[in-house]
Amino acid sequence: MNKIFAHGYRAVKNCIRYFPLLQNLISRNLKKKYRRSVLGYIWCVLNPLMVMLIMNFVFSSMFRSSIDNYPVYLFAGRMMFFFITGSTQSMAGSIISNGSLMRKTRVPYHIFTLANFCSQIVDFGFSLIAFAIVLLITKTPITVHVLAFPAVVLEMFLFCYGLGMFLAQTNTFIRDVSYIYGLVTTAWMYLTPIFYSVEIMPANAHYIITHFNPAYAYLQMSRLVFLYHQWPTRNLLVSGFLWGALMTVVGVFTYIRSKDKLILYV
Amino acid sequence: MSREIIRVEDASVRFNLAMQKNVGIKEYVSKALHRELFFQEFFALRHIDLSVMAGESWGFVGRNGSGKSTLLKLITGILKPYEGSVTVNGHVSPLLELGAGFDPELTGRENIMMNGLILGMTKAQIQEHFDDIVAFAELEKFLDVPIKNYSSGMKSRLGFSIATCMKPEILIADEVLSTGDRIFQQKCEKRMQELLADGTTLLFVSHSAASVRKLCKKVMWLDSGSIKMCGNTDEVMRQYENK
Repeated sequence: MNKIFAHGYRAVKNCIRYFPLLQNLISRNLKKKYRRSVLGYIWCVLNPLMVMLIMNFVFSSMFRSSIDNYPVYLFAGRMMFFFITGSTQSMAGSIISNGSLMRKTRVPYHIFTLANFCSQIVDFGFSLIAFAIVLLITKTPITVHVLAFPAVVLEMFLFCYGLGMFLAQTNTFIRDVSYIYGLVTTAWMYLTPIFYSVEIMPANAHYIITHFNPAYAYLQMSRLVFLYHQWPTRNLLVSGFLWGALMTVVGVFTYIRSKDKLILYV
Repeated sequence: MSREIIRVEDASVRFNLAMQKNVGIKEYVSKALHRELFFQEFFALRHIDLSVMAGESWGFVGRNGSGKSTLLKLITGILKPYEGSVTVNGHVSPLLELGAGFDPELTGRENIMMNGLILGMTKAQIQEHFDDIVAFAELEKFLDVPIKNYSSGMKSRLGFSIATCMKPEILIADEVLSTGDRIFQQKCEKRMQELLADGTTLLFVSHSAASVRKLCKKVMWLDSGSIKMCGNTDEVMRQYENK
C-alpha cells in the first residue's frame, strides 16, 4: 500500500514539474498534424463534419426509416467511438515513436503517452464543435440533460487512458500488439451500434453488445442526452464507470510494473 | 570542502542480446528448445566504482564499445544498474548525442523550447537565455527553418548551446566535439572551461586525447566494460597513448 502511495506522490510531483513539457508536446502534436496545409486548423472541424456527411449519405437510405434524426444519431455515436479508437491507437505507438528521446534524455515515459492522449482530447473538442453545427442544422433542441454529458465523457476518458497506457507498454515489448489492435478495432466498429440501431441485432448479439461492449455504454449515453433528451440510466453510468476504472487500474499497474524495462525495448 | 556529487558503487549493466534480435518463429522454437532464448547475456559494464566530487572534471577514454556511453547513461539515470548502485546528488544536463531530442519537423525556435524543457529548464529560463543560445550556435538566420534541413554541424551547435547555456550542475558530454568544425570545437572547449571555472562538474567522453588532457583533471580508462585504469590525467593518458 505504501508503495502505491509513493508511486502516486511521485506521479503528481512529475506532473507539476513536467507540465510545461506536456503542454509543449501537445502543441507539437497538433502543429505537426496541420503544418503546411492551407486550411490548417479548420480541418479539425471540417474533417469530422465531412466524414459525417459521407456516412450519412451512405447509410441513411439503409437505416433512416428505423432511426429518427439519423444525422444526430450517427454523429453522437461516431464522435464517441472515434475518440475511443483514435486515442488508444495513438497512445499505443507513443512510446516507440519517442524512443530516440528516451534513449538520450531522462523524462518519465508516460508523458509521451499522456501527451498523445491530451492532443486527442483537443481533437475531440473540435469534433464537439462540428457536432454543435450538426445539432444546429438539424434543429435539434439542446435540453438540460446535456449537463450529464461531462460525466459521460469523463468515464470515457478514464477508459481510454487506461487502455491506451496498457497498449503503449505491451506494444513496446511485442510490436505485434498494434497490428492486432488494428484488427480488434475493426471488429469492434462493426460490433458497436454506430450507424445501425442495436435493436436490429438478433437477441443473443444484442445481449452481448449491450453487456460486454464498453463502447456501447458511452455511445448510448451520448445519444440519450443529445438525441432522446433523457438522463443517462443508472445501469449505463455504473457500467461506464466500472469499465473506466478497471482499464485505468490495469493501465497504471502495467506501467508501474514495466517502466524500468521499457528502455531496453524501444 | 567539496562534496561528493556522484557515487557509483560496484555497478554492472547487463543487456540481453537475445531480445534485441528479431527472432522468427522457426528460430524461436529452436532456441526455446535449447533454452537460450532469454538467456544471452552481455555485460556492458562490470563492477564499476566511481566517486566524483563537485566541480571535478572527468574524462572517459577507451575503444568503441568499451562501455563509456553506457556508464554515462547509467549516471544520467536512463539505464538502471543490474547490480550495484548509482547515487547522483545534483541536476544532470545530459548531452549524450548532439541533436538527440530534436524533432526534425519542428523549427529551430520550437526545438530550443522543447529541448530546454526536456533538459529540465523552465519556460522563463529558456526565454531569458534564448538570445544567448542562438548567438552561441550562430543560427540567427535559420531559426524558423525546420531542423530536418539543418546540417549535422548546425544541429550539434544548437544542442551544445542549449545544454550549456544554464550553467548545469553536472554536464555530461559524449563525443560532443566530433562534429563541429575546428572553430566551433575551440568555442565549445572554451565554454566548457568557463563552466568548470564556475563549479560545474564535467563528465567528458572523447576519442581526442588532446581535448581530454586540456579539459579533464581525472581520467577513467575503460576496456570491455571494466576499469583498466583510473587516476590523474597525466598518468592514465601516458599509459593510454602508449598502449
